[in-house]
Amino acid sequence: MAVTDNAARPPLVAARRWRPVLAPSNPALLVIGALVVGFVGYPVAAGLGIFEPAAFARLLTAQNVEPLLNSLLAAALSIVPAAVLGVPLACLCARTNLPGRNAIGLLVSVSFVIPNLLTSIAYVFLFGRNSGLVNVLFYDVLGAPLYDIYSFSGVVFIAVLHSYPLIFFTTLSGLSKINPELEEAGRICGLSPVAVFFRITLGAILPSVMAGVAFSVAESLTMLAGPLVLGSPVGLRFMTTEMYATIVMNPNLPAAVALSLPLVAITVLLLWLQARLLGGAGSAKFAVLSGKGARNEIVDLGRWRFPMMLLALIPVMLSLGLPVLTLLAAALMDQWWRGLDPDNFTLANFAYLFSDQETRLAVWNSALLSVGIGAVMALLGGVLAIVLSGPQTLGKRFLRQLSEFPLGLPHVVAGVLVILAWYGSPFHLGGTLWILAFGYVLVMLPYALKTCEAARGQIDTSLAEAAHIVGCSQLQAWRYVLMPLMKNGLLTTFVLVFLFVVKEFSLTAMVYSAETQTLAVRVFTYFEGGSYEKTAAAAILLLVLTFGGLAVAGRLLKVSLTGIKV
Amino acid sequence: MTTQQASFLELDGLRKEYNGVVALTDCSLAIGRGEFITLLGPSGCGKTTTLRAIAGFVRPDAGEIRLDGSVLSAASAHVAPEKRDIGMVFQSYAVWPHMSVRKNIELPLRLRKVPGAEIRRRVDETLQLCRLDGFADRDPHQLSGGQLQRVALARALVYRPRLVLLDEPLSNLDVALREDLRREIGRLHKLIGATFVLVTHDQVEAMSLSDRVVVMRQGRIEQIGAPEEIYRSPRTEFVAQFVGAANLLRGSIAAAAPAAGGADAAARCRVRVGGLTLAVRPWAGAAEGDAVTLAVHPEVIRILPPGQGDRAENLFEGTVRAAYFLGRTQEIVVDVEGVELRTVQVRSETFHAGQPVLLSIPGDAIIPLGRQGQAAAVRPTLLS
Repeated sequence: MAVTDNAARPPLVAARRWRPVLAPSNPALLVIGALVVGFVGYPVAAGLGIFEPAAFARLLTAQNVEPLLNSLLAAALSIVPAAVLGVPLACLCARTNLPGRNAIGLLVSVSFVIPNLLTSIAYVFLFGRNSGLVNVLFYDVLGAPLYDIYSFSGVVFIAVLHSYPLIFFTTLSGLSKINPELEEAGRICGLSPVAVFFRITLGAILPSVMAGVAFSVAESLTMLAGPLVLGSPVGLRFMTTEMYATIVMNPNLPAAVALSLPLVAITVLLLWLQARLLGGAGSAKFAVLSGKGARNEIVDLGRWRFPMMLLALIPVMLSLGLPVLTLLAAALMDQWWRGLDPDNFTLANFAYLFSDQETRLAVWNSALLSVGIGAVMALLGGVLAIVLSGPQTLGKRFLRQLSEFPLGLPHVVAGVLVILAWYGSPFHLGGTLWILAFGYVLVMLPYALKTCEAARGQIDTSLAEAAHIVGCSQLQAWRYVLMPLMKNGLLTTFVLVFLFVVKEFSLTAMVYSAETQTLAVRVFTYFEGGSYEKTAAAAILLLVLTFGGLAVAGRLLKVSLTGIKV
Repeated sequence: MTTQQASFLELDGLRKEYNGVVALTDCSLAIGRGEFITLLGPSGCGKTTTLRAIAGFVRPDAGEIRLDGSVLSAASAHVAPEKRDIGMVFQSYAVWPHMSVRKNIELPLRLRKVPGAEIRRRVDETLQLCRLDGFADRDPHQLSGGQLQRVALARALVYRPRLVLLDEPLSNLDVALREDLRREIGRLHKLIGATFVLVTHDQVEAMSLSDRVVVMRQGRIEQIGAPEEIYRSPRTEFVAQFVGAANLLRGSIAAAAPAAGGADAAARCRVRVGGLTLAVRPWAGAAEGDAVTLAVHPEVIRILPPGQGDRAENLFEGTVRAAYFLGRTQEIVVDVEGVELRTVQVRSETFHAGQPVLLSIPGDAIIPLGRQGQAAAVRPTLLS
């Protein structure tokens, strides 16, 4: 038997010191790196490439300061009502015996899925100055419209409806993350359940609430649909509508890039703030509703249970019930202004849509893009999550930063960047679905990466190592072990991206052409054309596509909406 | 037979740092074909890094790994784990949860393009070998920890690798199962004849399974040898304590042996430890006044009934400080002239604190440490 030991025998080869190269030659990393650089780095570089100091200087003229102030003011004003709705609602759902609290939570999720284009349009149907049905009804009594949604306050209102679910989600996730022992310690020290809630729980969830606030300010600031539908007709200018104008009305790309900068700067600042508040990069954007917290104290509302439930239903009615019912009613009416006259009901609007070539194309485009981009992003996100795992090299760190960068890109800005990158020479993708697809890949990449990384993180490294040691090449290890184990994460990514793409309006509105309208854009063009009933029918079609897709996903892929919160 | 020809797996001057912290340094080891080698040491000693370097998951910063004459890792080359044709059993089992037992075990064969009928035959054979008959179609979540470990073993053996690595395979199992599987691993090694490298922090595992044990500490190899050799002749305090849980007694030589290298088995040199003087078998190079550390295994210390043992060697009177009932044995801590000795007794007699006892230590069982320059830390103070 060979018996040697280290002390007795000199080394056969003098021990050479060497370091591994910076990024060990990893073909997968190179390929995926090239893709990320192409889809994210290149458009950003293209945007920076045409930056003109002169155009930026013009930003600071009085003419351009107004939209900036309007955007900031609307976002700021929307925050307090959104927090006042979102925080108590989350507390009621998570910590009291409110009847139907799970259903209310689900309805808030659903209302977040309703595009704010549709919400804005629905409220025009009700509160448009002259034609809004409610205003028409009150005109005889008051001699004036009850409320004009075409106003600054109207934009704020839509922002509130879009923001409060976000604050609801982050608050809920904050509540579920609190160590129950913190609260139990309060009880042991002699505090009543209500006192524990106000003196301990609220303080502990404050960072979550503030993170939600930062995120929803960013969302309100970068929203296009509300300002475009409610502000532009009465001459109210916002940052996003200005950008829309510089692309769609009077194309001026340097001006659009100059306008982008303050928007990107503020968005990045808000996301940074949010990440700081949560102590983890961007995690609130991906707060997952666990709905657990079984050990937490449940406050008995007593005889206030039903009054509280009615109160809790008000925001849900405003953000979901009222708009959807309005659109549904309008879609089924011959003439909206005639109201609930039995003779007024018809299916003719839908019949018209199905016969309309452009609408059929729009439905096809939306379905193709949402399913296709969903699948592509699940794959891309999955591969990226696998490749970026393991020891962090400089290359991986750079790739992760680049992949997460689009979080700070408002969709309108992303629209400008993809036009710059792909529209003209050398790629000439203008007027094709590709340019839209590349735009969606750009904005969805961070979300796909996060969802897939969460799935990848749950797989013990030894499972992949075991695959390699028995002889799997990298691709075989993905195929046999990693991808199958990440299946749920990939499906969740698919559904998440599907939802985003099917309702996407801001980016699409900047980039689309006649041939590449999506259903959301089609809703808007009907609305601009002045046909309320056809607009409503198209909107209902969009909702059917959205929720139909979700239902199919739920049935086939066993992925449910409650698992996805963005 | 020179070592170079005989060794099947050679580690040569391996070194690995993580962010400036040395995890492994100067690690050289030659392992013979069919040998069962255990890397033994506390956590953080570098044993897992060594194993993962052999597997190819860790690329050493310096040094070479050669298997059967071909280079696996060197400055210029690094063979990927999947190209090494090595079997490995992971601490967490790493049985793929989305595949049945059969699918887990047959994947290595499918990757090697083995024909279907042959795959079936060999999987069944391996299942039988690992005593898993009847479990082929179970899903991993239906199996117990011990069964999962058998699946992991089967998956590592099914493609008949030349070398099988086991990374603390028993540490997640309860005590009864652990002994069971330990015997199983020993049986499989004898049956298959492949070279096994086991990593563990459990000295019982190391002692009972291995042809040779490699004791590691702080990224270095401390001692290599057959289990008995490691136990009986530890070279350092660390090995004596980690492997044998020995009492360490620091003292100085009061009188060296009468005749250097005398063949007289009864020759003794005297070592003073605290207030005690111990008769110890002499060793080469012992000189009066030298500092020395003695290792005494707890089980060699005998507690004698009062009045007996007049002729026993190293006979002392002491007081019981504490007694712990451990089931099969009991641990008695005895104070002798201010020196604390841990002893292990199998006798059923009960002891209680404060009780005076008589104990003896056979001089042949006392192991002087630091005979080969290892006592450098102690010696200079005396020489200067």
